[in-house]
This record gives sequence, C-alpha cells and structure tokens, in this order.
Amino acid sequence: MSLWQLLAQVYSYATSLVRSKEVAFWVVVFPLILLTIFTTIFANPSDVTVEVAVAGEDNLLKDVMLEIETLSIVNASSRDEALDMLRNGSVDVAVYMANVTEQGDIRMPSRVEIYYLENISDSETAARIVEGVVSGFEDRIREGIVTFVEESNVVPEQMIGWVRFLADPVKTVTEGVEPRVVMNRGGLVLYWVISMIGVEVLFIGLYTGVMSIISKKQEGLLKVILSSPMSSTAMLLSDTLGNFLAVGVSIASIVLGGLILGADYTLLTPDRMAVIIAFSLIGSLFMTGLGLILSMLPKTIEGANALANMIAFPLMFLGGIVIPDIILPTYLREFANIYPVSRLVKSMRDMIIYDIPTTNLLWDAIYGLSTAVIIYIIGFTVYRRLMQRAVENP
Amino acid sequence: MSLLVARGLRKKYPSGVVAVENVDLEMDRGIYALMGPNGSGKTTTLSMITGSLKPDAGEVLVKGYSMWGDGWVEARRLIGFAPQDMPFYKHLTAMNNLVYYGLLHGLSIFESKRRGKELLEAVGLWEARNRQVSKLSGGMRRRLAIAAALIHDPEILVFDEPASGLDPKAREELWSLLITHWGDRLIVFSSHDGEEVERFATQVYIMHRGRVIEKGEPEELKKRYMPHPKAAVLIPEGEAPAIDGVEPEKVGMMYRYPLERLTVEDIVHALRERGVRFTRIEVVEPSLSEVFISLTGEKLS
Repeated sequence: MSLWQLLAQVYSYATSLVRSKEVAFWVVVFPLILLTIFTTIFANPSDVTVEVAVAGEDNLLKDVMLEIETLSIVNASSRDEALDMLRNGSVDVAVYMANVTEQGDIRMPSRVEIYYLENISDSETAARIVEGVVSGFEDRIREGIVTFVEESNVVPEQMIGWVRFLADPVKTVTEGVEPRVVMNRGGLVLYWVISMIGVEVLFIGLYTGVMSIISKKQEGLLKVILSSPMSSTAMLLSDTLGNFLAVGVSIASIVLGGLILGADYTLLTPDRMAVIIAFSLIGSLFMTGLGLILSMLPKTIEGANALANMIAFPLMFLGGIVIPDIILPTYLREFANIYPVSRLVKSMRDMIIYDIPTTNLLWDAIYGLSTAVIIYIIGFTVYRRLMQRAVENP
Repeated sequence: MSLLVARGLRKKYPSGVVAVENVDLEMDRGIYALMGPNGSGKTTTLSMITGSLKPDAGEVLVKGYSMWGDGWVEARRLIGFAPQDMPFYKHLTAMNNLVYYGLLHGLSIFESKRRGKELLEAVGLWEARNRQVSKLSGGMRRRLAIAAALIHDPEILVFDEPASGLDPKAREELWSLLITHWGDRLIVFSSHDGEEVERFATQVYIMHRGRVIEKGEPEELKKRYMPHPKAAVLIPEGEAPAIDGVEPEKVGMMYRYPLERLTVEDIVHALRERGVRFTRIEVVEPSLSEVFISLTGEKLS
C-alpha cells in the first residue's frame, strides 16, 4: 500500500468539488441553504411570544399581564370561549379570573384558573410562564400587606417579623439564568452552525459508506480497481480520507456561512475549534462505518440512495442533531445520548452555550472514538466480504 | 519464462453457466487475440487474467508472479487493463482521470501528471486534456482508455474489444497508435471481428462455448482450415446436393462448396441441372471468420 494510493479517492473528491456541480451542491451549497433557513426561522430571540386568552371581570391582574412583552393577551368573553380558543390552537394558554372581588373601580381576582393543552410541551411551558406572572403578582400583594401593617402601627414592632412570615411563609424566588450566548442572535446562529456541521457529518459519512462499493461496481470502476495493485484496505482508507476531505470542506463552508449570517465566533478559541474538528472527524468515522455495514443491503445505486435517505433524515431530526434534545420525548433523548454523532454534536454545542471547558468533554470524546472505531471495524469487515464476493461473483 | 501463463482456468457463475472451462494460455511479446462470438468466454477469461475476477480453478502467472498468490501486487503492476467500457469520472477532465489512474497504481501525483502528459500527447489528446470526459467522442474515449491502461508503464496491455463501436477509420487509427508506440509489448485483446484479428494479431486463441478450440497464427489457421476459397450459395428452399462427391457445408441458409476441385461454373451448372433454385452465389476468401465456421459450424458474429 503506498501513500499515493490512499490519496486516489481524495484526489477524485477534491477535483469533483471543482468540476461537478452535483458534488459541490451537496458539500458546499446544501448546508448553507439549511443554515440560512434554520437561522432565519429560529435565530431571533425576540420572536418568542405566549398567546394568552383571558376571560373574567378582573382588571388588576389583566393590567399587569398586559405590561409583559412576552405575553400577547386576547380577550375572551367567557371561560368557555377562552377554552375553545385554547382547544383550537389559537392561543397557548387560557386564563379565567373567577371569583372577582370589587373595591370601587378595582376588580381583583381571588381565584385564577390557568388552562393549558395536555401533552403539548409548548402549552405547558406557556402555562408555567403565566403562573410565574401570577406568582409575581401575588408577591407584590403580599409585600403591600406587610408594608401596610408596618406603616399602620397596628402590630407591635417585635411582631413584624411574624407578620412577614405569616404573609409569606416560604418566599421562593425563581429566576431564569440566561446561558452565556444562546439568547442573542450571534449565539443562536452559532448554535445552528454546529447543528449543520453535525448534519453534514451524518450525511457525508453515511453516503460514503453506503455507496463505497455499489457505486464503483455499477460504474464499472470496481473491475479496474480489482485489476490494479490497490488492496481493498487501501481502497477503503482512501474512501475514508476522501470523506474527511469532503467534511472538512463542508465545515469551512458552514463556518463561512455562519460568519456572514452573524454568528458570534468570539467564543471559538483555538482549542474549541480543534474539538469541533476532532469531533467532526470522529462522527464522520462512525457514520462511514455505519454506512459500510448498511452497504450490504442495496443492489443498485438508486437503492443505496433510498436507503441512505431513509436513515439520514430521521437521524437528523430525531437524533437531536437539528432539534435540541431538551424538547425530544424521553426515549429519544436516551437514544440521542447513546447515538455518538448526537452526543458529540451536543457536546460541541454545550461547550459553546454553557462555556464548558474542553477538558470536560474527554469522556464524550472517548465514548465517541471508541464506538466509531468499533463500528468502523465492523464496517470494514463487511466491506472486505463484499469485495471478496465481487471478485468471485461479479 | 513466458510473460503471461494461464493454466486450467475455469469459471462457473451462480446462474449455473460455465463461462470458461479448462482454458490454457501462454503468451509472450506480440499481439494476441482471443477470438470468439459473444458469450464464448472471452471477457471472463480476460477478467481472470487481469485479476478482476477470481477463477474457480486454475492459475494465472504474470512473469512468474501469481495473480492470486503472494505476488499479486507485482502481477497487477505488470498489467494494464482497459475493459470494453473503460470507466471514467465523466465530470472530470481527461488529465484528471489519468492522474487518478496513476494514483491507483501507486504513482505519485507528479509522476502521474508527467506520464499523463506524455500519454495524452502520444494518443493525440493533449489538446483535449482539460475537456470533461463526457464531452469526448467515442474514439477519443477509447484513446484515453489506452492512455489510462498505460499510465503505470506496464509490460502487458489487455483490451476487451478495443475497437468496439468505432468506425473503420477510427479503428485503423487506434491500432496504428497501439502498434507504433507499444507494439513491442505483449498486447492481448478480445474480438468477435475476424477481420480485425486477422489484420492485427500475431497469435489467435479461438474460443467457443467457454473453451479454447484452436490456437495459432492467423495465416497458419487459414491454411489449416480453409486452404482454398469457397463458393457460398444461398438456397432459400430445399437442400444443396453433393457435387462430384463434394458435400457442401451448411451455414444458416448458405451452402459452401470448397473450390479445391470444383469451380463456380461447375457448381452453377450442377445446381441448375438438378433444378435447385438459388438466389445468390459468391466466392468467399479464406478468413478467420471462415475458419471459425469450419471449426464450429456457427458464425463468428
């Protein structure tokens, strides 16, 4: 095996990137299109709004809710109307101010009913937000009571502490802490840059593996390769190196696209960039191995394409690569934790979003590398067997 | 030691077809042809001797190196193979493809480019070096195939139907190129065109139903199996009779009488006398196609 033989497929991929529009599209243009679409739709933090249908005679709490930018209030004439709006998806949450107490012009709710759609996580999250608003409103009322008691001198000074405690036995304060980068535009674009890197690692690796023999066989190239002094090991390594090149070019394209779209690259220190490159190569190795294992199934290039699509698209969305695993069902989250590419992509994202040191990612790296090597070796065994079959029975 | 030796080659496909049975070949410098109709086992034999197909039985030795044993790398280095439809990356240029083939054979990228330039000039494709293969004509692709087979400077060139699909002029040019530049090597080619084999081969292996049924120099084979011309007569109905004790040979609807003792006039006269209706009579000169017919009773193509 000579080094130059290992570069044969690398050379063909490199020249194909320049000469073949199809190759250039899938490696360079396609990830940019995806990146642009996802960042346009999902990388604008101010767009998060909770639609709330409010019914009831209260005006105090409703005035408070109207002041909160995240809440978009829709008036409903009755509880039933509010619930209808919730059920048909017009709003995220329905609120009914029951048992209103009147004092002059002020109408105060003594009972607030908050409704959300079961099994819809967005609706449930919206309900928690509204609960938070109501809770905040209650805190202000309590504080008002305690201040009134203090200022009115009705209660002796040494009892004020007890009054505070009775008004609000356990004061809980819940505050959100924003991740370091994610909530601004640059951070969100960076999030999607890493997601798209994961997508390309998945696609390019899988297609390389699945197509490794069938494309050469159907194009007649296998016959010539078998009559050359190139071993099947050298051929596979050459294909794998070519795959790495394609992934590298794709990453460069995505990073450049991210720059144009406004990604915040100040967090991409050299060691983090090295982690991204290393994790991408590990993921690529895994997907190539998986593709090689699957390559024993299709008999034609069209069949191989269909199989690769059938595997790649679900993995892309359900494996936590494009859709964050926090909004996946529990069982899919478990799968995303096991599936090396998802885990590596999540690690890359966490490194940026939560400012995790690169040294903390060592276990993920070991896990990813060991599974990649195992799958690649199994894939290599399948590859050797298929090559043997090709030379004995074309 | 002969450059290429094959002994006892056998290949049976999963469908049950025995494509090649007990084929022996021994070749040294020169131009060797495997001649036979489609399905006679030529391509299968070429695939086995070049290493792209493993025989069920037999061995292939290239300058003493076993194609399927320890010396498989050296054996493959000595052979340059161009299948009937040489696979190229159609979106890459002629030069890109040659460099790729050079790398496959272990040449460095610099050496591949150097050899590529030499070969493109030799085959007359230098002007088209930056043209995508998809934009080359059939004749140009065949010449590029020759260049690709030669990129690593092998001693043995193997071509499967090298002139297939080419017009006579292009075929002539192709062979002229091969013989002029590389005629001192061992060239092995397959063909179902007796005329092509006759014109360019120095040795012929005649294959029929997976076996080698005869071998030798073209002239020698013609002298042995068709020393004299024949008269071919087309008789649409009925059978052709023996004339002066000479039985005709039937090939399709044509009957052939050797012109060793008979003349054309004798044949015409005898057929008319017997009331045998014939629509055409022509003289067939000795050729390898006729040799094949003599040996098998079937047409070559």
